Amino acid sequence: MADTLPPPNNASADAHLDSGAQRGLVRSDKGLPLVWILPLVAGLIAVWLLYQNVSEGDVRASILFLSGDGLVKGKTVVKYSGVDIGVVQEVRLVPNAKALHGADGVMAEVSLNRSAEYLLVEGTKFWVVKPELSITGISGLETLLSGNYIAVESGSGKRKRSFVALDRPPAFIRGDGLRVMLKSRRLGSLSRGSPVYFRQLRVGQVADYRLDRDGSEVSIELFIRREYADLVHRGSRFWNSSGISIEGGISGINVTLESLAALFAGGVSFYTPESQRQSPLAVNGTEFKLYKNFTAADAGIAVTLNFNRGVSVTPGNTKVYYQGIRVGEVSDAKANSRMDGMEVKVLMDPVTDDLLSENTRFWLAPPTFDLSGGLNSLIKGNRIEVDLRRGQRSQRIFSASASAPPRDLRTPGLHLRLTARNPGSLQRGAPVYFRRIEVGKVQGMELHGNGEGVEVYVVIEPRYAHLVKQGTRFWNISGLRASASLSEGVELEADSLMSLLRGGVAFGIRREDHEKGVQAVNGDQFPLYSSREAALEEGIEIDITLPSAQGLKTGAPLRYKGVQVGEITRLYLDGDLEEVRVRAKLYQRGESFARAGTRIWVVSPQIGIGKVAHLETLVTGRYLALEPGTGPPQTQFYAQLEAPRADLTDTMHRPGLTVILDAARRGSLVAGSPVYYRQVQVGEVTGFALGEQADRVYIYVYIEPHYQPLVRQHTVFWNASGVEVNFGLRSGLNIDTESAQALWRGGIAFATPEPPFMGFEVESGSHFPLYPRAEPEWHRWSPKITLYDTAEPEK
Amino acid sequence: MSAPYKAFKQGLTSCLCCHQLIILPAAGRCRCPRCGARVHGRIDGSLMLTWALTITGALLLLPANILPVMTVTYLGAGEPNTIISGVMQLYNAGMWGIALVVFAASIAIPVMKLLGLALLLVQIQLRIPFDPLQAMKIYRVVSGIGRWSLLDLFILSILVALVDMGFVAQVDAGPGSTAFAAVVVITMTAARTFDPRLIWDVRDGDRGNTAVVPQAAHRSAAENG
Repeated sequence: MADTLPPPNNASADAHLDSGAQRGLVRSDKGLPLVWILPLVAGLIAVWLLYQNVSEGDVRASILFLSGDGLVKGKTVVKYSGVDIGVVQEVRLVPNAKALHGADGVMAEVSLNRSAEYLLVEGTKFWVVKPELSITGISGLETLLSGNYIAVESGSGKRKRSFVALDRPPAFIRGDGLRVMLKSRRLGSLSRGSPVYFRQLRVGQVADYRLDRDGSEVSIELFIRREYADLVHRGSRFWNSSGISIEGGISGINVTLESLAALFAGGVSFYTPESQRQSPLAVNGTEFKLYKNFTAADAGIAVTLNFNRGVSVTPGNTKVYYQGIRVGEVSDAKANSRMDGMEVKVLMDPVTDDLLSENTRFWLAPPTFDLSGGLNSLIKGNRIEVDLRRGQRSQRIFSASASAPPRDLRTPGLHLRLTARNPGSLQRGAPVYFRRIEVGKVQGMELHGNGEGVEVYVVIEPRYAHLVKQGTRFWNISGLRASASLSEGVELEADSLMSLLRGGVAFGIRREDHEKGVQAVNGDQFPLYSSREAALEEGIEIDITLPSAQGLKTGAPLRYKGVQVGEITRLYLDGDLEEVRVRAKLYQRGESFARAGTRIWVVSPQIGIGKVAHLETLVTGRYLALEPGTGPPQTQFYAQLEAPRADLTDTMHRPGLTVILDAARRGSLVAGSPVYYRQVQVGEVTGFALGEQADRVYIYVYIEPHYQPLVRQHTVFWNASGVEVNFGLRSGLNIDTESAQALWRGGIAFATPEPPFMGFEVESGSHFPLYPRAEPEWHRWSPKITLYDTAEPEK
Repeated sequence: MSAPYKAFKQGLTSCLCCHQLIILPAAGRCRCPRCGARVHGRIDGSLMLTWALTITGALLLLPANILPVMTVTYLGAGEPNTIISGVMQLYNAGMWGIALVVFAASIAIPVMKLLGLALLLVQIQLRIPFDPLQAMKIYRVVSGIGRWSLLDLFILSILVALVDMGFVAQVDAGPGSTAFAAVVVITMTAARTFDPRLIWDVRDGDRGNTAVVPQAAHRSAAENG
């Protein structure tokens, strides 16, 4: 552009200026065609892309499959070592493919990454990976989500673009290791990938299997990882340890109920017997026989058990367990030469080798129903239990016991002996609880020498041993306990489900024993009480004789004023069947009841028009009520079936005032009928008696101490039962009753005249006449009488 | 018909910013005395700029269509999509309506824009006789529809932001989207830098060479870049 410019003015420009246009300001500006950088950069990018596309574009190859199952155009990927390296571009049918011996095939055109080009050589294998679920393993699970894919195993050789796929995954396992051959009559549940175990450690896997040419045997190729290859000697024994074939019958439940891991557990195990440890190491291709199980492999350690009596064991079926783990199997059982016992041959798992010593003991365990061991061991048949222990010397012949040892002092912990009359549902293995925490186990039980009672052996775990002191009380918590009351509902109690089924023992200690208690030591003996109450409550036993049991049960409480002071421990008929004898225990706080003069009666529900009482016993059961006596100690009592009538002469000695009203008839009064003063209840009728000459009725009236001063020498009493109805022309209808209660329970009212006519206070036992009705003037009396303060001691 | 009376031939132009009428100096370039904006009788090097941007846009169309614009990962599996493969997928999925829209916005519009611009440029550069009214229509369409391609990028950016649920579903933008954005922006700039007044200059120049000397000098400078 021109840079030198003439002065930007001429006449016409000026003219335009005048007409409103303005002159632009000149500013020089250098223009560079920088804009051309843009297409240059864009061009470079495009060229670079084109180059990349060409140089790193896909490589195509064609793979011939026997079946197009799972091959999807544009979807199915090719994977090598888990990495996507290509995708199927095209799938087409190939009729009568030569490579497939004339069968129709499916040709898949795949495009592979340029980086995977080196795989396209002779010897490279392709196959389709599909999800596989078999009893011994799950493979290709990832394909469930991502779909089938084509897997590649690299080969080496000349370049090649066309391949024939394998119809199943190749046996080859990448990596270095030992490959040995097993010969078996049956394949069992083995499959490719089944693990190979050595002492339950996975050391390899089944690489491949095939039928031998003559069809008589199966060859199984094992791959043992390099680091474990030196475990395989020529003398090693291999056996099929597939989870399913070992346990049939009732324990077949194992396989389905345990985790999926049990499915994986199948496989091949091997072991080198002691005698063969020096044999040369196996090399690639060494052949072995595959035994059915370790018993058949004879890899187990043969152990002879001598039972001192006949036991029911079945060769091949009875197993040997160590703390719930199967460690062996009975291989032979026969009577011994002296015909006084049995000789049982057992093959023990080789892992127990070091533990078969002089300290190891065998015994026959009966079938148990056991919840603690999980569902699979819910019901076990006869089995042999072993307690494996290290010792000084190895041993192969043992004398076994036909029953579980009652105790084993070698178990760590505090060993105690509990004596009980009856162990209830206690079982070997039952838990021992302290505050509901399991702290030990019942080891066993034994009858006393004289057959009286049972010895229960328990062991407390070492860390809880300090809880047991002299004075500790043990009690049986087997079974279910129920208690019910109207106010608290029904309460069922079992310490645990286990204690329901297997019983259990709990212990505790009373506070006073706890302080002075000395630590218990091994072998200490304690009584085993039947219940917590029996264990922790000390008291005295009393005997009660009853005309009839009246619905009383063992465990029914003895109560005084509603508080339980004891319980019935036994109920039995008298020798002559006339009476019922009750053995009851009075708790410590109730010991003062064991005195002469104590009255005992059965409390049962009462429903009547005058009274509804003790309804709660309908639900909770009847009980014995006590009223303490004051005589010398006594343990023999005779109980009444009904609450005793208050002894009327006794009432004279009660605090308060008891007066006797003389009446012609009893009327509707009952014991408990109220006594009113100015329509305030101040006492009650306690009882009746006929007069000495039967010409009158004595009505005993009890006035509460507080109101005692109300009764004076000239007090008048009248019968306030019922309703008084007056009708007059001038007064109208007048219905009068002391209270609604008096309507149906009857009642007595009294009034005291005003001073100076009232007279002095009276003493208990004073007689007054009972008038049938009140004179009207009595109602007008209103003497001022100071009442006793209730807090003041009476008499 | 007589030659139209043109302000440019009278040495006048208006500021494109504040529309102040300005007497052009002989240099043809100056600043608006009122608002200070640059004043062009004709946009400086308009033809050259438009050419450069058009060529850039055309070149960038290549990576925009070859490179993946986005990767939709669903349950851990997914593959990068180019524009065309995305359209094909939509079409195969039966959503041909959406496929059509995407195709129009992502491929047809950018290509049409570039073709339209190239047509205008070639006509002006080679002074091929043409109908200026038709050329104006082409120009209006090109500068009008350009921005609609940004719709794709808008949707893509929303998807990337919204669909990020880790393994379950995820959308990632690819390098193709950058290229595509560049195409859209560059073609829009190209349409802006094109000075439609040149269309009329060509026609008038062809009709009669009555222009005064400075203007003629200036015009030739503008045309030659």
